[in-house]
Amino acid sequence: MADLLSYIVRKLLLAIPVILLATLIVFLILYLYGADPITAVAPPHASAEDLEALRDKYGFDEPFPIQYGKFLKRLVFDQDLGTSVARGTLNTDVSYLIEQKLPKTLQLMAIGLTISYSIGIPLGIYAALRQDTLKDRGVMVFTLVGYAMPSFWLGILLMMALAVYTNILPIGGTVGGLENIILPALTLGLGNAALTTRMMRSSMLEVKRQDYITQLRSRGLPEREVIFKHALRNALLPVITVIGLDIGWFVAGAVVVETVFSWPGIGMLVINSIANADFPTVQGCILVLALFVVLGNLVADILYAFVDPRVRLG
Amino acid sequence: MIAAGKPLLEIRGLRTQFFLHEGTVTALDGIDLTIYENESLGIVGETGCGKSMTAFSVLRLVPHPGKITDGSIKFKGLELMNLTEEQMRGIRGRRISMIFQDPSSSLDPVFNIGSQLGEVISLHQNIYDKDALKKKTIEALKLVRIAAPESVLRQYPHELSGGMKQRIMIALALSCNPSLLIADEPTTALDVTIQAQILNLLKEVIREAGSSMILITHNLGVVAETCDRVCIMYAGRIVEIAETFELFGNPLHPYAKGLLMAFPKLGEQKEELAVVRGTVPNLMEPFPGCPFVDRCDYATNVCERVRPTMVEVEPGHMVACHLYPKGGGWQDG
Amino acid sequence: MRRRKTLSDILAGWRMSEGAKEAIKDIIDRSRRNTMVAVGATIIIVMFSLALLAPVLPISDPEEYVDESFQPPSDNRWFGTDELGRDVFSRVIWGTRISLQVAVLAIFFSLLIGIMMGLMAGYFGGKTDYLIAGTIDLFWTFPPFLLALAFAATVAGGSLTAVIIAISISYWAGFARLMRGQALSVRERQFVEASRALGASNIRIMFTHVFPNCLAPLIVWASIGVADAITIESSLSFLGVGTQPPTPSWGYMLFRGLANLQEAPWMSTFPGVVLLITVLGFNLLGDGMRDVLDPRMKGMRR
Repeated sequence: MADLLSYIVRKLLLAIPVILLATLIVFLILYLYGADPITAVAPPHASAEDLEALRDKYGFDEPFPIQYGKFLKRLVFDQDLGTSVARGTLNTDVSYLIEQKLPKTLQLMAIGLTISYSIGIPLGIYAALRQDTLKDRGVMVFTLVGYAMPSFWLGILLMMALAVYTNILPIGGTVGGLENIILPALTLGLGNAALTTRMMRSSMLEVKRQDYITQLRSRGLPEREVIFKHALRNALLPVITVIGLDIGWFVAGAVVVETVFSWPGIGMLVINSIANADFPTVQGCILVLALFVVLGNLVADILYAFVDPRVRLG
Repeated sequence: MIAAGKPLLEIRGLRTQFFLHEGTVTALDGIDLTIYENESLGIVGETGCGKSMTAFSVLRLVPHPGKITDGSIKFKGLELMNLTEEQMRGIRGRRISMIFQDPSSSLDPVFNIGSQLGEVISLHQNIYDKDALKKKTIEALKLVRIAAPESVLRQYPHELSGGMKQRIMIALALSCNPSLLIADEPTTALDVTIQAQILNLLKEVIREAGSSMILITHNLGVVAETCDRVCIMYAGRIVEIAETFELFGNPLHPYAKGLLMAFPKLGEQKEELAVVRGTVPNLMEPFPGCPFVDRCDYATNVCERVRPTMVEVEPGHMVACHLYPKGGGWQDG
Repeated sequence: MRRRKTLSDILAGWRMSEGAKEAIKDIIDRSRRNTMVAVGATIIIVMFSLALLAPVLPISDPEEYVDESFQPPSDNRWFGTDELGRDVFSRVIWGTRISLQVAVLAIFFSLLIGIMMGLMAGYFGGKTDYLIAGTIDLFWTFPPFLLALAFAATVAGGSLTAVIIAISISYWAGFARLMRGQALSVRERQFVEASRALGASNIRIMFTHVFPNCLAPLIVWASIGVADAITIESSLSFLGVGTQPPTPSWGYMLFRGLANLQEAPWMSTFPGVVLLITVLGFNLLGDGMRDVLDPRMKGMRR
């Protein structure tokens, strides 16, 4: 247990530089924008005094490292991400805007991940157990097409199939209701399901070849126990290691899919803010998305340590 | 000991083939072999000669795309080839058990020793009570001379040494008192110092349990120390069978002679290592004659064309070679 | 000057290896028999031909309003027209040109960055390695699309160059990881020690020994990288931060198609199908080549 704890602490410490890099990139977005960054954070038609006050607050006159330091300080101690400069949300705290949208994105990702794993894992096992049969080939074609399919195009296709031509589901998601989440979540989930299926299949095929599987069979264990207890648990390990990458994929996918279906989450907020040149909000959103990625990797690492006894030592 | 007990396992005409894209590989081509009760039989041969495949065939665990295409395997008179998969599972681990070459890759890495051992014991002895099961697993570990069984139960394979893992493998194999233990190169992957320990342990536990053992190895030294009889395989066929003492003193088949020449005797300083020249025939193409013909110093025309049959030259000493035409035909010893 | 020298070094490295010719012949043989490679390569050749021939093909100007708006597909306008009366077929073909141009250049620059970083980290080891490996891992953690979005949103204007740069600096980490791993393992091998003893310089060793050894996986991952880059480019232009109108780009065409999904489904269907086929082609080639070159090579992103 002590091993496990120190492992988790070590992983937490390793996440810190990643988060720092994220803040640095996010900070650079603002810093590099235009000749006078003050125009990016100032509301339009601000008076000269207002500009001066802002300049003072953000410290734009000072050298880069000090500016970055101040940015970090505001971020850590006040959770202050600045205020929006877009017309509709002028002077609203960016953190407030994000708080409003965050639950929607989390919902979308949670349902998407559930769809992805509940399709991908069983389908991958199914294909692996029928290696080289027609059914296996069929699954492989699904995964090839599924992971070549850009998520916005899959979204449009699903929308055509399930909303435009059949009226089974509503087209958009502006309301953010339950029936509105099905299409975006399905789009996110299906794309990643193809990856999960592939991963699960090849991992299962790899494990099936291992000596310990033959050893277990030689002890007279029933085949279902060999496959669903021993082989499955081992085959899931590589799938768990990529949960971190999956979450990254979902974060990126959410930006696109939310835009396709007008789902009111962080992804749509960031795209709208880019369109409105609302850079403080863009900054805040990207930071939050980056944190998702870092947390996702952390969760994957910790999960892995629980499932694979070999990790705790290393 | 003299091979005169009751036959335990009788293999007749066993043929195992692999169906690959490139063609059919005949890994075992008509194996005839009998193992008696209370004996240790060594199977010796170079890599790829089919010795491991014989073991997998007996348990009917030939890996895909391999298949047993012909022959009969009788265990205590019971024809294994006719059993359903379900019935076969009752044989595996309970009546015939196996030990594998590399203990590091033969234990499931994500379960601890206690649960892997407990699973097998509970399956074959129908013990479901936790405490009773734990007692049994500890007994099984004590049987293979593990000093601190309680703590080993909680450990995972990666936390144990190779020798320790092989002990556990033996404990797994013997936990249900099988009549036959097949040990496939049980010491090859271990340190030299551990090899002798494991071999001695195997000999002892087999004797205590009154079981028979098939020991598969490429090391004649291991055979000399452990086995009552030796069977030498070459290119998917058996070329010579004899009692260990007899074979070491009087090898008949040119291949066996070559092997023994390569094997340094105690205290002997070899100036040059006898190398058996030539290569093993391609098992994908059927050949009519003796598989050893290309490498044999005594090969004649007949060796190219006619497959040699097993001849009993001395009582219990059989060889498949045209150099020994006497007697003629197969005689079961 | 230096560049030419290193290139000939690479060739020398290839010539030196025993049985290399036979190995290459074997690879070509196996590639021919691999369906994935065959299908992928065919798709890629067709797409590249269309992209190169776009200016001379008898198709209308992709930015010109040639017909009425929202014309469904017909004998004359195979893919119909869009909301401004532009020919969708012509725009899809010109879109191929833009897409491939961006993706191939972006992956070329990613490869350059990745190979240099990976070789330096893997070869020099020590503190250099520690520093570079850390940077690689940081970039590796983030999905390239997210990074590219952040970069593309920063660089105002959204020119083609901006998109190419955004993708290049987001995607290189995978290549760098690959190179670093291989460089580390090659470094341990005897023949590098041997050539060092003979007085070969570090740079020379890197290019003659490490680089040829990494060629096979690089070909595979570059192909899959182009597929990823096409997806990233089209996603960026779908979101309005990539290639800017009126330049014909699949992503932006799909964005306009989404707005007119009910009236003119052909506006999104055709670019979408061609986009999917192109991405599929590069993925198939990559996957197929991986099976051909080394069946054990698995587990990078995707």
